[in-house]
Amino acid sequence: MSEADTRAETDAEVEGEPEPEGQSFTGQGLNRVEDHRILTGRAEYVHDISPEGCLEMGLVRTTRAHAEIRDIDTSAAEAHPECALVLTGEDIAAEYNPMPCGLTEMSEWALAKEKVHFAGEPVALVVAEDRYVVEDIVDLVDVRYDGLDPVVDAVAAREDETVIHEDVGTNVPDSEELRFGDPEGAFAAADTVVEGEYSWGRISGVPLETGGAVAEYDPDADTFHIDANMQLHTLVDNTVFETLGYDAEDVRIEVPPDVGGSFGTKIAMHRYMCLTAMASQQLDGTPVKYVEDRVENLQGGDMHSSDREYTVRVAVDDDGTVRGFDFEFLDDFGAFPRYPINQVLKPLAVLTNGYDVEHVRYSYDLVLTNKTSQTAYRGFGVDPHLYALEMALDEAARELGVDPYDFRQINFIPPGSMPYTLPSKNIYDSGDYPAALERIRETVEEAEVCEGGLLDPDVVESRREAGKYRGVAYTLHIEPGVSGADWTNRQRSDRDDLSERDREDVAELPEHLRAEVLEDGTVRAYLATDSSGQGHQTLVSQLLADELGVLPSDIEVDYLDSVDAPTEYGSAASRMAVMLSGAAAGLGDRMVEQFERLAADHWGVGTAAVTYREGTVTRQDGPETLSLADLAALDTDREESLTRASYDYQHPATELEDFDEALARKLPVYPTAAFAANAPIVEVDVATGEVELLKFYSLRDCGTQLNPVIVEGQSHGGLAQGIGAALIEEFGYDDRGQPQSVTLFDYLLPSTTNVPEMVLEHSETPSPFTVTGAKGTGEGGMIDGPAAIASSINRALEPFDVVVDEIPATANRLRRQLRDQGE
Amino acid sequence: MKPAPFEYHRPSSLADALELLADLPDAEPLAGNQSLSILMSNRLASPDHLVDINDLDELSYVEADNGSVAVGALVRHREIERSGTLAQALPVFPEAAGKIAGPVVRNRGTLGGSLGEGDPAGNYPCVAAALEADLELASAGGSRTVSADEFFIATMFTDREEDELITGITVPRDPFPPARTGQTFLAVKEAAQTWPTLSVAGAVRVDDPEDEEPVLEDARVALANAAEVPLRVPGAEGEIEGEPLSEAGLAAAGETAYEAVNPEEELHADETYKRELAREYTKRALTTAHDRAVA
Repeated sequence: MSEADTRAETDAEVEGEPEPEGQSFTGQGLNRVEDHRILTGRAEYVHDISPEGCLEMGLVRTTRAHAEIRDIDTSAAEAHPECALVLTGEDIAAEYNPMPCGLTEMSEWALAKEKVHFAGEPVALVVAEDRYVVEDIVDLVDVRYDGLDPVVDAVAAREDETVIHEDVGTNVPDSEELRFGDPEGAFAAADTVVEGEYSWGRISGVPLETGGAVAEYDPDADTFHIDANMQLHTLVDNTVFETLGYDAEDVRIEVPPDVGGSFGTKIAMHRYMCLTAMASQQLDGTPVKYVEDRVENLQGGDMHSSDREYTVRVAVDDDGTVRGFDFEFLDDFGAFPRYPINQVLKPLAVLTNGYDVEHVRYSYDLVLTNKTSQTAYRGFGVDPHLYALEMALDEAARELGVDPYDFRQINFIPPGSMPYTLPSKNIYDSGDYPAALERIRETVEEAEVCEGGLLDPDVVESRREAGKYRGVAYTLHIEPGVSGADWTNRQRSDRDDLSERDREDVAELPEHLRAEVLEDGTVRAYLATDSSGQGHQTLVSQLLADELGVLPSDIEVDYLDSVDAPTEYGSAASRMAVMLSGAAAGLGDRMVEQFERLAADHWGVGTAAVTYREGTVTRQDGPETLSLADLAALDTDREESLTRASYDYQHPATELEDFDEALARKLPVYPTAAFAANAPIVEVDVATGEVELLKFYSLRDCGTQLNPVIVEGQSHGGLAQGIGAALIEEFGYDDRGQPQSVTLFDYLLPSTTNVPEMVLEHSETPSPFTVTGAKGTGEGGMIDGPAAIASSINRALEPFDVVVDEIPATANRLRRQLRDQGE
Repeated sequence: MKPAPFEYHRPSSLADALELLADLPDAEPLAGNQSLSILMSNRLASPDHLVDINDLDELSYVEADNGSVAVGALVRHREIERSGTLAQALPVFPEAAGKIAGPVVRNRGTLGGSLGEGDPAGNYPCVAAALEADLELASAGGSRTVSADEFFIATMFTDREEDELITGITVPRDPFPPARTGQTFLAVKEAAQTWPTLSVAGAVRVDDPEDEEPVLEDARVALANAAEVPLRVPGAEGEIEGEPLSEAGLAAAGETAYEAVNPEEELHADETYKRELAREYTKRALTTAHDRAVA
C-alpha cells in the first residue's frame, strides 16, 4: 500500500497539511548520524569513561533466595593488601538512605541489610585498583546466613504463609479492581461466556551493553558527578539523590550520548549509581567505576519484567458480538516493586485493543516473591495484556464456530468512530482497523496461498501428512504512545478520591529542547532526554533543519545532564517522535522570531521589515542580509541573548479537552495509537512441539514517519524481541528460588536462526493530536509480536483444539498441550 | 566474570606438555578455549596452571586407512566440518561438527576439548559412543587407549587422569563401508547459541542398497543430553537389526529409547518431553541413516 493510498483512506479531517515534496528533511530516510561513530568503534560508552585514578567496584552477591544475614566478616577482605574499601548494608545505613521503591510504604537498601530477598542481591561492595583484584577480594568476604523458606510461586505467595517484607505484612502490597461500563450486566446478558487462563513468563530486554556507572565525589563542593548509562535521568534521578541524602542540584547525572540499548531496563540503575557514589565519597573523592558483567545483569540486575497469570472472560453473543471483557491477573514483581502500578495499569490505555467493547472489568494483584525485581521493558505490561486478550478471542471464536478473522472484523472499532474513547477513557487518535486487517490478509493470500507459496493448500496438506502443521492468523494490535506523566504517580494518590479530582490538579511534564547558534553559524541543540540507540540526534537534526531552513548537517545535537535539564519524562513509552516534533516546531518558531528581532534591532527597523529564510535574515527595504554566523557575532555582547532559545512543548493530551477525564482520574493517558496488522506464518512439528516461523508479514502504521529508516529499524528490532518473547526467552526460577537463566546459554535471545524474513509494509495514518502527525513507534513489535505468533500457532493447531496458554510458547509447552489433547 | 590468578604455560611439544601436566599441581590443559574460560571467568573453575597445547602440531591430523580413521585432539570443529576424508569415511563427524554453536566457536574449539569436557550434551561424545570410538590418552608415564563407552563416567567427569592428555581418537571403519552405510546427526535446539535439548547420532549398514527391501545388518543410536553420559541405546538398535526397516521396528526402537533415557530436567524441557524427543529423534535418525544407506 503506498503512502498516498493510505492517506486517501484516512478520514479527511485528520489529514494534516501535506508538506511540499522534496523540501522537507523530516519524513526522509536519512542515515542516522549516530551510526558512523558506532559502526567505526568511535562511540564512547560508560565503560570507556575512566577518570584519572579511577578505582573499580565489585559486589558480593548472595546466592540465597531468602535468608537472614547472621554475620558478615569482612576482615580477610580488608586485610588484602590491595583492598581500598569494603562496605556492607549496615555501613551504608549509618550514613545514607534506603532507595525509594515503587510503592511508598516500601524502601530498599542498596546493599542488603538484615536479610537477603533474592539470589543475586548485593550484600557488600569492594573497591580496589582493578576488577580482577576486586573479584579476588569479593571472594574473601564471608557472609553467614540463617535460611528462610523462599517464596517462589506467585499464586501461592498470595496466601502469605511466608511474608517476605514483614514491615509490609503481606506479599500482595497492592491490588485494584476497576469497572468500566456495566460488566456484570454485559456478562449476565450475553449468550455465552468463554473463559481461559494464560500465563506470561518472566521476559525482559537484554541490552548488548550492561549497566554501569562512574561516580566522583567532590569533597570541596560536597557534590557528586555520576556518569551512567541510565534511562530517564531527569525523571527518576530522585532514586539517586534522595538515597545519597542530597538535593537534586548536588548530584549531577550525565548519560553518555551512546548507550548500548536499554529498552526500559536501565531505568532502574540507581543501585549501581548510589553505590559508586557512596564509595567515592567514602574514599574522599576518588572516582569509582562499576560495570555489571553479564551474569550479574541477568540474575540480579533489577531488569526482569512482567511475569503474569491471567484469567480472561469474554461475554459474547451468538452473532459474534463481544459484549464485555473481564481481565483478572497477578503480576510477580519479585522482591521490590520498581514501577509496578504503571506497569499493571498501562494496559488500560489499550484496554480492548482494536475492539469496540464498552463493558470491562479489570483487576490485578501485585505480588512479591524472592526473585530479582522487575523493571520496565519495551511494552511495559501491554504485551501480556494483548496476548491474553487475543488468546481469549481465539478461544471464543472456536466456541462460536466463527472464523477468527471474521470474529475480529465484527468487533473492530469502526473507522468512523475515530477519535475513539475507550471505556477506560484513553482515546485512540486515528486508524482504520478493518481495512488494515483486510489488507494484510489480502497480501498474504496473494503471495502465499497459491502455487509456490508457503500456504499453497497442497503443500499445507502434504506437510500435515509429515506431522508439520502450518498456519497463519491475522491480528491487529494497538501500540499506545506518548505517555503522560501525571497518572504515573497514581500509587502516591488516594485512589478513592480520584473520581473527585479536579482537572486543574493535573501536573504534566513538557518536553524541553534548547539550541544556540555557534560562531560559525551552525546550530547546536540540546536534548533534555537521554538516548539508548533510538536515533534522537538524527531526528532533531532533521526536524530543526526544517524549522530553520538549514541542512541537518549544520545542526549538532548534544545532551543535557540532570542538573542542567529540567525535570521531564524522557525517552519511554514511544514518546520522542511526538514530543521532539512539537518541541522542535516551538523552538524553531521562537528562534526565527528572535533572529528577526536581532536583525531588526541591528538595522534599526521594525521586525515587520525583516524576514528570516533558510539561514539568512533579509532586510526588505535594502540589500543587506545577515547570516547565522553574523547573528551569532552580533549577539555576543547583548544582555539578552537572541541566538539562544529554549522551548517547553506541552504534552498534547493537556491541550485537548477530550482527555480531561482520564487526566483528572489518573487513568493512563496515551494520546497516540500506532497499530500493526500482523500475519506471521508458522509451522508446528506436532511430534516435538517445535515451532518454525516461516515468514513474518506485518502492516505497520505509526502515523507520519519522521524517518522511515528509523521506523524500519524499530520494527525489525521490536519484532525480533517479540519473536524471542513468543518462543524462547524466559527468566526461569527453580522451586528454591534459584535463577535458571543467568547466562546467554539459558536466556535465549533470538538470532538469525529464529528470526525469519520479515515482509513489512508501512502505512501512514497521521495523528490529529500531534504536530507532525507522528505517533511514535518505540515499543512496536515487542507489543504485537507475541500475541500474533501465538494466534498463528492456534490456527496451525486448530485440528488439535490447542490455544497457546503460556508465553514463551516453547516446544515442551506446546507438546504438553498436544499431549493433553491425546496427540 | 574475572578469573582468579593463574600461571600460563605454552609448551611446544607433546613431551613438554605431558611433563608440565605431570609436574604442576592443579593444571588444566587449554586448547580451543570455548568452555574453560567461561568456567574460569565465573570462578567455577580456578586452576593454578593452564597448559596451552595450541602449539602441539602433532595433535592436528585427520588420517584414514582401510582399517580405521584417526583424528587428532587439536583438530578444530571447522576442520572436521570441512574434512573431505571424514565426509567420505564417517560423514556423521562433519555433520555433528557443523552443528556446534556458530562459526566463531567452530574455528577455535577442538575435538579433544569437547571430548575431555565430558558434557553429555556434547556432539562428539555422542558420535564417539555411537561409532565405538577409542580415545588415545597420553601421560609422561606412557599412553593408553580407552573406549568411548568407558571414558565417559558422569556429567563433566571422565576417565582421564589429571596428568593425561587426550591425543586423539580412532574409529574402526569395518562396520561402516561407505557404499552400504548411512549416518546422521540431528540436534534439537531452541536457539543456535545454546546446547541442544537433545541430539542423536545414528548409523545404519544394510546388506545390499540395491535390494528392494535391504536388511539392516548394523544399526547405531546414541543420544546426547539424555542421561549423565552420552547414551548408546543398544536395545533400540536391536529392534531394527536383522530385518528390513519397518514402521513397527522404528516404533519399537523409539519406545526403547523413550524408556532408556534418564534425562536431567531443564527450564524448557521436563522429563516427559525429553523422553518424547528421544523417541521421536531415534526414529528420525534411523530413518535418515537408512535412507542415506540405500540412496
